[in-house]
Amino acid sequence: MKFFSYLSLRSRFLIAPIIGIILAILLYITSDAIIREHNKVLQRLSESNLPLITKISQSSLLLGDEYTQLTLLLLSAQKHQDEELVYIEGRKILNNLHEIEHNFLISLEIDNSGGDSTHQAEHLRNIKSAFILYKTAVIGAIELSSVDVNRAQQELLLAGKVLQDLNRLLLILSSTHIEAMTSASILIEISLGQNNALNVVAIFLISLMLISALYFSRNLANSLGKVNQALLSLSKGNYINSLPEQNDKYMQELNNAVNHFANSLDENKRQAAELKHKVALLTDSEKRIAALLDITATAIIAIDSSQKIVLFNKAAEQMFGFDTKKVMGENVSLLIPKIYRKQHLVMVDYFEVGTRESNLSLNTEPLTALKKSGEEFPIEAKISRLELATETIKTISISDISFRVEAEDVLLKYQEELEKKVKKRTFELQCSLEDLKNTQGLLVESEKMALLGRLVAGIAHELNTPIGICVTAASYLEEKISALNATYESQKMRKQDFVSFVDTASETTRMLLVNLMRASDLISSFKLVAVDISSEMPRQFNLHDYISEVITSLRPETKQYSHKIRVVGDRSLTVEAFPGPIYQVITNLVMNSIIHAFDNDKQGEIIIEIKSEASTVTIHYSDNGVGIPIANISMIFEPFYTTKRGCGGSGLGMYLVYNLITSNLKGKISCRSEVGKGTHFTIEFPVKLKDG
Amino acid sequence: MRFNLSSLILSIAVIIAHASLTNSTTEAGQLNSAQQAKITETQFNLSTIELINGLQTGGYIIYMRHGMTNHEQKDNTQDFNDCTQQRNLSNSGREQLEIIAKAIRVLKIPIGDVLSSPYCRAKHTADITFGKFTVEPKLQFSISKNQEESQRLGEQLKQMMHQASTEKYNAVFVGHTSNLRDGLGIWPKPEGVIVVFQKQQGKLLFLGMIKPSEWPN
Repeated sequence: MKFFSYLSLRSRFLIAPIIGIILAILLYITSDAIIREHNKVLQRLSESNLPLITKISQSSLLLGDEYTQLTLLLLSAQKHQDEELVYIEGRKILNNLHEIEHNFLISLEIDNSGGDSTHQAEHLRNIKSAFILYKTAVIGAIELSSVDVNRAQQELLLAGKVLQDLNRLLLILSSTHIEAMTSASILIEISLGQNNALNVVAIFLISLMLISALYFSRNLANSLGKVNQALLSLSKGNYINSLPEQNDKYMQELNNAVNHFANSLDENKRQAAELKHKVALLTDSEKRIAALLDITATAIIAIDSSQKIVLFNKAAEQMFGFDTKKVMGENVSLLIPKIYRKQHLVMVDYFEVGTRESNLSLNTEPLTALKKSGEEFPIEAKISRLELATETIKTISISDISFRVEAEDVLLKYQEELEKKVKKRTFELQCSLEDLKNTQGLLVESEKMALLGRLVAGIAHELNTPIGICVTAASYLEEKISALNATYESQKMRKQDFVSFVDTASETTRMLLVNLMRASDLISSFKLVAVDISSEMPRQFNLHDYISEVITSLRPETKQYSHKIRVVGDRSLTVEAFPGPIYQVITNLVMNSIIHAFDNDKQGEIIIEIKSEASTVTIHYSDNGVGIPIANISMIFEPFYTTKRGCGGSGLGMYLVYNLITSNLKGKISCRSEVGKGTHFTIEFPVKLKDG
Repeated sequence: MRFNLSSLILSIAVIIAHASLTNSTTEAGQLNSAQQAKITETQFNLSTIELINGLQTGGYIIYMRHGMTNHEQKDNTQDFNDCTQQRNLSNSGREQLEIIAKAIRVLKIPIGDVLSSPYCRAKHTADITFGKFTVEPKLQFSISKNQEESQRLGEQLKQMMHQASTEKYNAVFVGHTSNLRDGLGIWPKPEGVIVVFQKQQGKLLFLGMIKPSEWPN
C-alpha cells in the first residue's frame, strides 16, 4: 500500500477508471469477435442454405402445380382433341418447367455450402437428369395427347413417377442443407461457452478496480474531509489548528498549503490593520499639505497629462481671479491668452521631451497669462514634473512679474539715455585724443630737435677744445717761426736754434695734427649722426662701429664723469636699418644712466653687448647704477613719466626710445632692474629691415 | 412523422410501378401473339385448285409438316443422326408421301430450295416428297425448347421464309408443328400437310393448306 502513496493524485483517481476502460475494451473486443464469427456463420447460412432450402421447396411445389396443369390439359384434350390448343397450353407448361429448372439450377450453382463435394456433385447430376427425363415425358404427353390418348396417359404416368423421383432427390438435398444449418447453430452455441480465459481476466480486473477505488476513496476522503473542514472554518474567519502530518506526499503538500493559507489570512488581517493606520497618517499629511499650499503666497497650479488643472491653490485664485472649484478639471489653456495657446502646446511637447529622462524643472521665460477678467499680465513659471504611481503631473509655480517688467522698462529707457550721453562724451574724448596725439607727435618732433640741438651743442663744445688747442699751437708755432725768422734775419741763427726750432715745430705740428684729426673725427661722426637723424633711409652699417661712434660723440657729456662705457659682442655684424634711431636710443639710454642711474655722481660702468641670432640682433644695455624700483619699471616707457621733473626732465626720453624701437626699427625693448644693483635693457630688432 | 409518411408514399409508388410493369410485359406478350394472329389471319383460305394453280406458276413458299409417324416411338435423343431413338415416319406415312410426290411431279409444280429439319422424319419426308433437301438446323422441333428458344426458332423460320428466293420456283421448308405456330401462328394439321405462303410487300400472306388427301389423282 505504500506504493500507492507515491502515485500522484491524478493517477490515483485514474486507476479505477483506466482499469474499467481496459476491461470494457477487452470485453468489447472479444464480444465483437464472437459476434462477427456468428455473424459470418449465420450469413453463410442465410446466403446459401436458407434460400436454397426455400428454392427447393418452391421448385417442388411449382413442379407439382405444373403436373396438375398437365393433367387437366390432358383431361380436356380427351374431350376436344385440338392439336393446336393442346400445343398452346402445353407450351405454357413446358415454358414454366424450363423456368423452374433454370432457376433451380442457378440457385444450386450459387450454393457453396461445401460438404462432401463428390457426393454433392453426383447428387446434382441426378437431379439434372431427372429434370430432363421429366421434361421429355411431359413433351411426350403433350405430343401424344391429340394423337393417342392412352399413350398420352402412359406418358403422363411416367412423368408422374419421374416427378416423384425428382421430389425425393430434392428432399434429400434440402435435408442436407438443413443438417448444415443445425450443425452451424450448434457450433455457435459451443463457441459461446469457450471463454474461460476471458472470464478469469475480467474477474481479476474487476477486483483490482474495486480494491483501488475503495482504498483511495477511503484515504483521500479522510484527508480531503479534514482539509475541507479547515477551509470552511477559515472562510468563516475562525482560526484553525494546523493540519496533521501525513505520510502521503501529496496530501502533505495540500495540508501545507492550507496551513500556509491560514497564515496568510492572518497576515492579511494584520496588514489590513496596518493599512488603515497608514491611510489615517496619509489623510493627515494630505490635509497638512493642502493647508500649506493655501498659505503660501506663490501661485501653484498642477496639471495632469491631458493639460487639465488638478490643483489650484489660494494664491492662484487671487492671481487669476478664478474660483478653485470652478477651475478644477478645466484645461490649463483657460489661463493663457488665445494667441499664445498654440505656442503653449509646442512648449508642452518640448517640455515633455526635455524632461523625460530626469525630473528636471524648467524656468520659463516671461509669458503672458490671462486673468478671469480678461486682463493679460506677465508671469514667470517654474514647471517641474512629478511622476506618481498612478499618473504624471506637472506643478507650475507662478510669479506675477508685472512690477518687474515695469521696472525693466524704466531701466531700459535710462540705459538708452545713458548710451546716448556716453556716445557724445566718447566723441568729444576722441577729438581730444586726436589733438593730444597731434601734440604728442609735435612734442616728439621737438624732442628730436632738442636732441639734435643738444647734440650740436655738445659737438660744438667738443670741437671747441681741439680747435682751441690747434689755435694755441698754431699761434705758438707762428711765434717760434717769427723768432727763428728774427734770429735768421739777425744772422744769429745757430744750429742749435734751428734744431730746437725743428723739434718745437714738429711737436707743435704733431699736436696740431692730432687735434685737427680729433676735430675731424668729431665732425664726421656728427655728420653721420646728423645726416642719419634727418634722413629717413635705412642703410647697411656695422653695428659695433656705429655704436662706438655714437659713444665717441657723446664724450663731451661722459668725460665729465669717469663713467666707463664699453661696447662688446659681435664686431662683424652688419645690419640694415635706420641708424638714426639707434643713435637716439643709445644716446637716451646713456644720458638716462648718467642722470638717473649714476645720479651725476659716482663712477659707473655701462656695458653695451651686441648679439645676433638668426635674423634678430639683440643689444644688451646694462648699467650698474641705482636701479629702478619695480613699481616704476612699468611706467618708464610712458610719455611724460620722469622722476626728475623739476630738473628739466621732460619724461619723453624713454617714450621716444620705445617708439623708435618699435615703429622705426620694428623691434622690441624690455627693461629689467634691481634697486641698488643696476638696470638692464634688452633691445631686439631684425637684422634686415624689411620693406614695407 | 414526416419520415414515416414519405416512406409510406414511396412504398405505395413502388408497388404500383411493379404491378404496372408486370402487367405491361404480359400484355406485350399477349399483344405479340395477337399481332401475329392478325398477320396470319389475313387468311385467304384459297381452295386447293387455286392453290395448286398458284404453285404451278411458282413464287410461293411451302411449309410442309412431316408425314404420319409411328406414335409408339419417342424422341429420346438430341443426336439427330440417330434415327433409332426418334419418332419416325410410319409405313402409311411413307405411302401417303409418295402419292403427294407423284402429284407434285404430275402437276409440274416447280420446286426450288428445300430446307429440312434435322429430325429423321423430316428428312425422310423431304426426301420422299421432293427428292432433295438440305438440312437446316433452325427448323428443328421447338417443342422441347424453353420459351425463349422456341420463340427464336419461330422468328428464324419467319426470317428464312422472308429471305427465301422465290423467283420462278417455290421455296420449301420441311419441319414440325410448333415452329410454324411459334413463328407464324399457323398450326399445320394433319401430318403431311402443305402450307402455302405468299410474300407480298414484305409480309407473309397465308394462302391456304393442302392436306394430303386433297391432292388430285
